[in-house]
Amino acid sequence: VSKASNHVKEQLSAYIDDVLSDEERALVEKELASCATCRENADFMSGIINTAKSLPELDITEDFRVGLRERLEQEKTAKVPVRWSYWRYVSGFAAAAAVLVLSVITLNSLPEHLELTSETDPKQVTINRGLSTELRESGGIEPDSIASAAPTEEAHGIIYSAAGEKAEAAQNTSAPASLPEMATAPRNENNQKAEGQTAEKITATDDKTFTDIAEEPALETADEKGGVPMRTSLYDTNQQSSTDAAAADSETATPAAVPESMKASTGVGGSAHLARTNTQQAEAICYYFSPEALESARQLLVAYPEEDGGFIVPEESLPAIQESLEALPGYIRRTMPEQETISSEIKMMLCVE
Amino acid sequence: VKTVSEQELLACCKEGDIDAFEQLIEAYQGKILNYCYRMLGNRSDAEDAAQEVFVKVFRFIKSFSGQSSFSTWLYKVASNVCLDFLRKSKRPDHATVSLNQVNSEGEEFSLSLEDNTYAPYQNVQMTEAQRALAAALDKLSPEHKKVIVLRDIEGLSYEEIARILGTAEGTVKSRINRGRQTLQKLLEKDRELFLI
Repeated sequence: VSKASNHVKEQLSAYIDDVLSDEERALVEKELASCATCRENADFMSGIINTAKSLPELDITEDFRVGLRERLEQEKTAKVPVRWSYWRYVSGFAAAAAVLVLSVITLNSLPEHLELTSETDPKQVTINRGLSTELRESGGIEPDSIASAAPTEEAHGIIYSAAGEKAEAAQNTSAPASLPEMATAPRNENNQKAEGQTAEKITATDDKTFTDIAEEPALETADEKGGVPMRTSLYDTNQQSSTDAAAADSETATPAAVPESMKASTGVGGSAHLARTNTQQAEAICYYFSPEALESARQLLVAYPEEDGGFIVPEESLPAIQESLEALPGYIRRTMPEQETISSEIKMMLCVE
Repeated sequence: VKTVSEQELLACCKEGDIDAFEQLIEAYQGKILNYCYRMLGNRSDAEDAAQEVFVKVFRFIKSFSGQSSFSTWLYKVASNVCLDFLRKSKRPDHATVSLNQVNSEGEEFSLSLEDNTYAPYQNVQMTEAQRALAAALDKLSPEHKKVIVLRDIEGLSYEEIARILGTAEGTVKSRINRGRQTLQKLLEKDRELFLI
């Protein structure tokens, strides 16, 4: 095979698409003129490309339109939050730890005067309102946009792991993020009392949520009287150590481990607050729990593509991000020593534009 | 009839307006369906995947920031959905026999031996060349198939493809080149069909 033949072979595709520089194109043309094999090869490739362009196409049928319309109608009326599908697959231990840590975090962020009423979805009260307060205090986001924005179901699944990582990234870097304080907020007695309540509420109010977890031991029925349920043995036993672990982790975290480009920041001034992460990294996190979780999460991630393989969550989806703190792979990690080996890249999966 | 801009339709879609959404996607349905068709090789899967694409887009349209064009976003979602379908494909493993090879750049690619157990594009009138090409396309790796379909069938520019795949144009150029070279290898025995 001649040198010319090899050169043409490598440049042929770009030559046919006319994306070569003038100089390169002239060189290829010169070589083509003097190499019959090259010309025949060029004709072969052009023939393939032309045939590709001529392949028969499908028409949109009425059945397709009707089927799509039905699916869109279903989608519009779907009430089941996407986000919970993730948890159906999480292993019992990880899930129990998630509930535990979730309770620590969300209750730490609760306003002291918060009341749970029977008309209000406890999950939204405990998590959303609490986090909204945090956000207001941190000044990261316009309070009104948080207060008025209903959680957008569609965003939950994807942000799931992102939000957890976001909180951690911000915490480790001391960046002025909107979410991090929950993790490090000082615990007080009120919070401790309410922790069991939050976890229990979630378990009890969303049957899609922790169905599997509910089958795990140690979750007792909450005593609703007075709004402060009894705490369960699971939480009693593990709570303190997990918090200590979180605190220790927080203290020993190395800010330098966070790539500059991935440091969290807030969308100050109401500009779009964009959470960006990387699909593969999110997958890696999910995979850490189980292949099924990976599959489930990947399903959700599929719909969020953005440039560079990441995805972008606009400001209006932030309430969903807040809710997704329930996922918190980062916090789960703190309660499970064996998970500390997870790589730093995965830890720092979140990038905010 | 007043022409409604894509922006106006998008605004309605974000409110959950299905009629507006149908209007918005009208111009893209054929493109996305055929993209899925080329990626998956049969009408049934293609229609299912295309519907999946539009449902996902509808679900997440509130999150569409407009940083990229709507069309680019659709192709991105379609690309991911099709990869999902390919992963989950019920196609028997023995439909193709892959020989993994490494090219001069160290990239792995697969050469597949023909196996007619799985015949794509059934019940479609095609010339011999078209049929051979369809079968060869079906044997490309998803990465190569994506770029070939986007470039040679959908007719997108290198720049658009790079945006859809979230990669550099140079990577797209290289993948298209490799994909076409692999097609040439796969079609070598039918070479004369393509030499006009």
